[in-house]
Amino acid sequence: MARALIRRLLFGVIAVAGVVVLAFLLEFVVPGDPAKAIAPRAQSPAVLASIRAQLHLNQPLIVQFADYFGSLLRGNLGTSYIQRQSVASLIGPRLLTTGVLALAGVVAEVVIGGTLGILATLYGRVRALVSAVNLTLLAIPIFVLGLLLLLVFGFQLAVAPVTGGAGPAQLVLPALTLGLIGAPWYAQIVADQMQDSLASSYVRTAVSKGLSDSYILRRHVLRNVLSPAITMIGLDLGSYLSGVVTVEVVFVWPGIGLLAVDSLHNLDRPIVMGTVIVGAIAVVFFNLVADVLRMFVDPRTGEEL
Amino acid sequence: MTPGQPEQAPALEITDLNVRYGPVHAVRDACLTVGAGQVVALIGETGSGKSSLALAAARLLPSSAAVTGQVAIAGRDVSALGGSAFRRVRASLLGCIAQDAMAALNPVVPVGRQVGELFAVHAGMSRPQAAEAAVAALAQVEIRHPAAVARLYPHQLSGGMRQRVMIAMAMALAPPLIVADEPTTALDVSTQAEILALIGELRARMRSGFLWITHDMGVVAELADWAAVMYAGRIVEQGPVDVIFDAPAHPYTEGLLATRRDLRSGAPGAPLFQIRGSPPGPAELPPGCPFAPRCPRATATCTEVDPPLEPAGSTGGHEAACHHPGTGADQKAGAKVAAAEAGAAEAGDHLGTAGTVTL
Amino acid sequence: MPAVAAPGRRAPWTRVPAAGPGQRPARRRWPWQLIAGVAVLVVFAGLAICAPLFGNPAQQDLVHGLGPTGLPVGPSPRYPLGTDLLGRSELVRLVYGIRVSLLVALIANATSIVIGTTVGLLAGYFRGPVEQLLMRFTDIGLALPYTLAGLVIAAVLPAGMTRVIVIITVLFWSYPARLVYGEVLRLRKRGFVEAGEAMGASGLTIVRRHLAPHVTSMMIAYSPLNAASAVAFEATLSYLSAGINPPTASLGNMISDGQAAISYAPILVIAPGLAIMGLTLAFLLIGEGAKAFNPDLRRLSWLGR
Repeated sequence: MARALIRRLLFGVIAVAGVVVLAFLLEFVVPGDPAKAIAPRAQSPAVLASIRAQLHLNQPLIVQFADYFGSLLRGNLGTSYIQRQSVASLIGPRLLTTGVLALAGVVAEVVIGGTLGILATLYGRVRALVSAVNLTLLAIPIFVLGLLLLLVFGFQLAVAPVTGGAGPAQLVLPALTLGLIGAPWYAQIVADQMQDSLASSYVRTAVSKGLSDSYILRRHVLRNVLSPAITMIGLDLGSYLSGVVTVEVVFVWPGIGLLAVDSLHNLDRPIVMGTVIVGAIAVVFFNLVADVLRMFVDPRTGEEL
Repeated sequence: MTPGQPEQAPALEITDLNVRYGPVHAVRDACLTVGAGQVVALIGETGSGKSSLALAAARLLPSSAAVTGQVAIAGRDVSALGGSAFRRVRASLLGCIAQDAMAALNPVVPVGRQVGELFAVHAGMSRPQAAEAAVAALAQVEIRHPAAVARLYPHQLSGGMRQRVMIAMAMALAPPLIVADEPTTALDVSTQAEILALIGELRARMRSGFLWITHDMGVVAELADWAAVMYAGRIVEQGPVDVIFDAPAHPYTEGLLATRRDLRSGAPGAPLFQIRGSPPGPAELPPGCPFAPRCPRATATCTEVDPPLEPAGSTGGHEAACHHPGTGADQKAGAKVAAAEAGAAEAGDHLGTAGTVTL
Repeated sequence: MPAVAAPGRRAPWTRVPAAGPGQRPARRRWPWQLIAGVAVLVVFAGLAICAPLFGNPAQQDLVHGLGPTGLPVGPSPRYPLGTDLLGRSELVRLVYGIRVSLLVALIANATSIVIGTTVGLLAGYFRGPVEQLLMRFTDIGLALPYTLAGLVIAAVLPAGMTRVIVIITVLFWSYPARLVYGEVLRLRKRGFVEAGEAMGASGLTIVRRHLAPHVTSMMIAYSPLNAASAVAFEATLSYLSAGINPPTASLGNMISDGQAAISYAPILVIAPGLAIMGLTLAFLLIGEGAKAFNPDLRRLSWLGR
């Protein structure tokens, strides 16, 4: 079990390294002169030349990369072109903000999706309704849903705040948006797994032991449903992250996603690269966490990681 | 009159049980009794209805199955009980041992907990008490280091141990009836022997009655007191095990035994005896006796009239559903009986009966 | 006499054969999802084709298009959906936006499927190191967070439809590649490839004769779902200014423009939002209907975020 985890960790490190290389290379595919980006109003070529020298832009590619990688390992993600601050200091405080939103979103999608799935399995009449809801949710792009919720709850009903910020009141709508978008997947998984469980031999054994329906659901069936749900969370992380970025833009939630998008528009490349690298690390890390969690929930997976 | 302790109510009494899955009539008019402390083997091929009968008696069939008839466990008429009422008394009346222990145990719950919940839910024990009781139950089925095993998950146990866990669960509350659905079929021969020995001991100690479903005549010979043979949804023969083995009345039973005899004692290289043909599916039952198309003794009557279950032979309780029941493999004896019957009919009624059988 | 296909597995172009002379062929019921989806799609396509008849999407009407305070005008006889913040007719822009979405769906869908199919076929047929290399790339492609990666690619390309199509193609080809690869492996297991090679057929013939029909039918059934994802993703990218930028009308950038006016002119967000949903739903329904013809696809996962 430990060996499998270490193997996963290794893959993760390689993946992050790959992302770093790609992000770095992208820098050189980008049209435009970084020196000009930093000092747009500088006219004299001497100033631009000195900026380029400072950034080692005249050195061969490998040297620049080694330089960058070296500072990366020391925790230095570079300096923003525009804001005169280190990238790390800009990203750092926002990590927690995005983390809170991400966590709230995952809870929302598991709860909403799980409830839909359980209802659809247990109550045949509800199944068609749940299918229709699922289909609708799948057809809405995340930002449209976010805006619709903002419109209805923020403006028309005035029960949610409409200005940006990171408070608990502002958390509701973005988390709900993430939750609703992810719900159909979890509903499907939960419904499938529940159907398998309910038809299984061990549920029949539980019935033969005279256990009540609600006890069986709670103590036997739900445990078996958890494992595929957690797997899904792990697999889902990449696209979930994208959703978080979009939601941050829609609701002006001051997290890493909003920072990345704004920096992209400002052509502040160091920040973009920094956020992409941090994002890659986060995905790898949480995938590992999901794997570990899954091992606790489903004892069978320990050996086959 | 079935053997067993006559003072105690029979462990199981099934009367006129019918099981239908939609248009398919899987079990027809079954009547069966398991005496207190008695082991009754229910023998049949796949599709004979034996599992349906046992599951119907245990109320473990899906709700799409239509079950009619009466079922009494330890003297209590349980067919009259509603769903939740039955659930409450279920564990103390009836234990079930399933065929595939790997599938029948919850893969994500330790086995100790799965045994313990019986005590926690039905015997009102607290969590630690139930855990101890579970360990004791595991020890009773001769699992060594029961406390350590209780913490393991089903997939970490061997097949034999899983089966022992199932037995422990079934016997936890010492119910008067245990329904076992081919519990040794999935095990290798040596494990099977161990489990059968275990059952023998437990049975001596616990006085529970067993309804043991199997298609293996060897298991029947070793374990059962009474045997009932099913074919195409009907009980076609039942009686004490030694009578069934030595002097079977129904041609199907004779066929089953002949198959086994050849396996045991046939000459090497000689072809094995086979009952030719295959059993009818529940949707394709022929008129008359369902075994007639394969029966060596079939006559015109057999294809027209479905024989009722009637006493056969001299031993009390031995019944067979056959127009031409045999008394063992002795054909001459059968012929004598037939001749005597024909003679009696002639003597008693000058009209006689046309087309009676001659063996 | 056409051979009767194996039960449960019919290539969509073979009709159910007649049972014999004098008997009518069995009538196959078209699933309602297919009919509904095609109907909606036809309506949208009609609108898109007739777009020039509606007017000029970039034309600003500073006289009648903006109210006395400079704010956009609501729905009126002259402007059935009102005007946007620059006095342009919302209806005209909507229709042009639909046209863009459909074009992107068509082209990006085709390119991503073609590339994906090629990769999958090559990997599945040639096995060995080629397979390993291609499938590693596919794995990376599958794990990428769509939106983030799209943003990064967008940073290096000039705005416009080409950029969107490139991004979608780059991010979407891995899924069909994996599907095709799996299918080719399954076909191999069934002996198609061995049989062909035993008969001395060249690689190309084997691919064409034996693998292509199954793969094609699978891709035909998959493409509506791919198209639905493409529509949604193009909208998201354009919303984040990483796709098509104004003044060219895209449903996504119409929403991002309209977001500022959401409190007093919600139609600017609702109309394009509904259009996106309608288009996506149409494709999803067609995809659902198509699954009826190819039951292997029942477990397909659909949209990314």
